[in-house]
Amino acid sequence: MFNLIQSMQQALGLLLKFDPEIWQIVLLSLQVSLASSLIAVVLAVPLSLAVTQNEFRGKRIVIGTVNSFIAIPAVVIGLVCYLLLSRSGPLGFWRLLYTPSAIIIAQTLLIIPLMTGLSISALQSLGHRVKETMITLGAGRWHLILGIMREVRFALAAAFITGFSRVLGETGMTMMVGGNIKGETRVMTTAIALETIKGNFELGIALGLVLLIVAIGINIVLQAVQGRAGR
Amino acid sequence: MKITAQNISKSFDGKAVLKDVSLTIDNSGIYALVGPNGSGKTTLMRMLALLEKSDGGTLKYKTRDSEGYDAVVHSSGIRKKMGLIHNPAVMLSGKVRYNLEYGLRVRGVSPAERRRRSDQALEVLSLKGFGKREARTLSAGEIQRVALGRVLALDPEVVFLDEPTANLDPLSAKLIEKTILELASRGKKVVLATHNLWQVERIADWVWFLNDGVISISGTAQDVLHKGDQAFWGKFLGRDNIFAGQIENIGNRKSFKINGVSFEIVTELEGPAMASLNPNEIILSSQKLVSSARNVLEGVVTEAVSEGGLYKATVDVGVLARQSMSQNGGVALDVAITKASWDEMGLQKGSRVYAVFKASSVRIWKEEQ
Repeated sequence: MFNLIQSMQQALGLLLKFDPEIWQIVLLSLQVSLASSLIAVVLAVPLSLAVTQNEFRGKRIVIGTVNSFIAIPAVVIGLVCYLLLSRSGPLGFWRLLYTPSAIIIAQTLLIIPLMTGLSISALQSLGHRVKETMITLGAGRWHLILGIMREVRFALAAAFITGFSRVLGETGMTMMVGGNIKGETRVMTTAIALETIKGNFELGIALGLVLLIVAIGINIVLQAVQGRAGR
Repeated sequence: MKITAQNISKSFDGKAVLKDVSLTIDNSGIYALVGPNGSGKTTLMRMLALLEKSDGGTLKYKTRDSEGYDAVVHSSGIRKKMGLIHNPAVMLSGKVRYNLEYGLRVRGVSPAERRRRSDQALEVLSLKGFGKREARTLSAGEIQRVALGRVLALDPEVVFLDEPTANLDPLSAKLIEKTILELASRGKKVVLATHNLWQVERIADWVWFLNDGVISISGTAQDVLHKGDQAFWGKFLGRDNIFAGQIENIGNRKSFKINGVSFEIVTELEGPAMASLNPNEIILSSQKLVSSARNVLEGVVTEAVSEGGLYKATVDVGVLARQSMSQNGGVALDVAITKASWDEMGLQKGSRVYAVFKASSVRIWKEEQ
């Protein structure tokens, strides 16, 4: 039976000692999640603009599809990415399986629908008249797009943060495509899972604390941003 | 810039909103586009402002530096010479200053010049000190003023305004009318969609009457409003206080009788006729006034609607007649009264009041057969 208090003390000790292994894991987690969120947002925002700012046949079907993609379980995306990236898979020659890049690819795919869906609803909530007002004031195509993005900037930021926190906390999929290799693809969530199974509670708790603090921090920022978006 | 519309038409979901409308905007001044709700005023204005494409017909914009080129091809260039204010006007998210400078910013105007022009707009529209306010937190009247300022800063040749003073406080409404008049005097063309006939009377130079998608009357404001058929205006524009009744002779004076209510009038006419009374020319008092006004009618407030800083009260002056003669009907007079007076007099639905107006305030005419 493990001693909770003792484990907590050891965990805090690890954190305060700036144990290099822990901080390497934290840093990689943040890097990978930030990279996938940035790639996803760069793809999701133009996609949502293209969908909302144009009239075309099947628009509602496209929006419906995007929204249903949000529900795809992460583990399924992990499976697909694994099959595509594994040595014998169609993209096996990239040699990306069990690298941070593989994690970034899977995480990006996971949150593109989420970020696109959130961006679409943000853009749809913008009244038609706001856009027309910009047009009547002389905005050309690019100024109009920039102006529209500026109008919904807080909602877009909220979409970004939501996606980021989703991938930061993602475990199973990250394990499948990253492999949880120590010093290479081990991130906070996979490390916690592993250390817990191994009975290495102090390391698990230490990382759990960091993850918790980051998650709460993100949530506070998100609340603040959403508060502004709602105004 | 000269705008020529020829036979333009537009349908929404198979319903024709505009049918072969032709008009020309050439001289500077104020053009009033009047008509009942749903007559196509807003649609026509949106088309002229290039926000909406017409289904048929041609729209031409002729500028000083060119010869009547096609609107569709050069729309962004022409659009930059025009401004439009929605009803209600929409603020972009951000400060008032950002709103005022937006159009200048997309035109690549230098920050110093932007500042100068937005300062000017703030000054003209009595918005000094508003630059740093969040635009969307302003009152309706202030928002409308910022919207007008936003357009003024761009110095456009043509300005389109959709019901610019509807539901505004009287101060903002007055300021906006004043600014519109100034624009016209500076050689701009102002196109105004409105169903406020009193406003048209005050400021418009030309009037187009749009009904059911067709311009049925057009001309100078003087001609259209004063020589036109008053009942017709009343019917379509909801001009208040229009009555059909009978002119009677009482001694050497004339009175107008409707539903058992009579009031004194000044006219040469006889027999059945129409009468109209401007709601602004009726005074409400809680006691019987002794004044030079010939008509003092006792009645009851049956309805009151707040419109900006004004109350539009409906006073039934047929109550007493009904009591004595036990007949139906009565005469409902619409009276405009400021919110301040309304509150001071402690008026409410059911209040007993006297409606006071001069015999000469009543316009009398014969309905054409």
